Amino acid sequence: MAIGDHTAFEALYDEFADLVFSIALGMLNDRGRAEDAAQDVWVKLWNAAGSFDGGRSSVATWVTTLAHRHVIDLIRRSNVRVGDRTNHEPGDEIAERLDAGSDTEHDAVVSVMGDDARRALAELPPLQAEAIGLAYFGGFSQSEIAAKMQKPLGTVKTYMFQGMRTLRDLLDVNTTSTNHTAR
Amino acid sequence: MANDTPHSDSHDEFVELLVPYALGLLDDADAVRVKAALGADTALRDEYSAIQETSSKLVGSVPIVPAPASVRARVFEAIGAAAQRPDAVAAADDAAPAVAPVVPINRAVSSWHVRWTRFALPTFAAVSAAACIALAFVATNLHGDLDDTRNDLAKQGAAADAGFAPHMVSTSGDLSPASGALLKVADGQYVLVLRNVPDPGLGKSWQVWTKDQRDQIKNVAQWKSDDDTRYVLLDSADITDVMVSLENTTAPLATPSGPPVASVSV
Repeated sequence: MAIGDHTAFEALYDEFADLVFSIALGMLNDRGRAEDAAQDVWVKLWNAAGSFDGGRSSVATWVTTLAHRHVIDLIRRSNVRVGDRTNHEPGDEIAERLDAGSDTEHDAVVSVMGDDARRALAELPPLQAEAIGLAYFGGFSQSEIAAKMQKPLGTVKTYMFQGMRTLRDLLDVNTTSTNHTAR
Repeated sequence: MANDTPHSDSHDEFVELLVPYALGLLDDADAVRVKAALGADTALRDEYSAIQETSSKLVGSVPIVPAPASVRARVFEAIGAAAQRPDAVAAADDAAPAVAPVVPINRAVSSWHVRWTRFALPTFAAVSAAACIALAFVATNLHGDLDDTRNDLAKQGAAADAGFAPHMVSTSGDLSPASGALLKVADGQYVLVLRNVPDPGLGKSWQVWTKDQRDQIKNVAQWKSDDDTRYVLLDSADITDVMVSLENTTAPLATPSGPPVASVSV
């Protein structure tokens, strides 16, 4: 999409607006914050239009990646994420939800996932699925995941990489990768 | 560096960093190293593309909720306002995109052989040291488009150098909220990293300059947006210092109008 092409941008917006908003709402669990986040994502997409390379990734991947990264950044900056159960402000829906449940961290992470993701992750070894779920839907860093899972950081990295490799097949990702092995 | 060697040690070293890289979880130094590795290793790029596609499918499977109409209105109001800004016209005139352009190595430098102004030179000279590099510029989001970066790095056989201690960038004035470092990517090849770069303001831009051993000043990059992280790739030649100035125009200047707001010696 060319920079400054309003028509193309409107078409892009109409195609992916619901997806962007849904990613933000699912992970932030706060409609107001999700709306703000979605707006920020779209402005970023507008500004970044010139950097999109259609040959390297699909439009959907580009939009989803940018939206997901932005929301993860918001979660990490705001310190309101799955598992952060203390010092939250009134109206903090994620923290309140976490306060209410028992195994809420796991439940909250799973609740964000769509059916396809849930089914695919269910096919993975549980520790790989847990690491990926916490990273992708909980916004946790690998160090935080290592602490939560009480596993070495290197082990968590391996879980995530191997899990993503398996998910590649489970989610039917087309790739030109030559499937090199990581260690 | 990998240099398209699929099973090299560096490939294996970097491959498990791709997931956190894709998620934006690496620290600056590691992110720069991965970025450089992606520029030199085709298999690693394939792996990264696959991870991006997989991540997209994973995340994109969230239950869909219709976006409120109010968001649409806010988005188009925001980009409409941006398009009407005077600097947007200037950007169109000089073919500079609204976001910082990705300028391939050796293309950005040629027209910027200029002398530093008498006013700015003393300040710049105060932070000078010695070394040689030719400058090129890649202003791109770390997790954004990598094509020009990797193409140029691949041409140069660039490698990240974990043993090089980052040189800290001194910032002042309007750029004081930012922090930065100069990282070595390979022999004669560095990356200037600036974090928390603020918006320069309407009609203004950040402009990056280098000084070589003959005291020649070159304008090598300019941008007019705020950024979480800004990367400027410096490629070998005859440069001793790198600095950033705030200019009251979005057009690239031949000479800086004032003292630098950020500087680092190579």
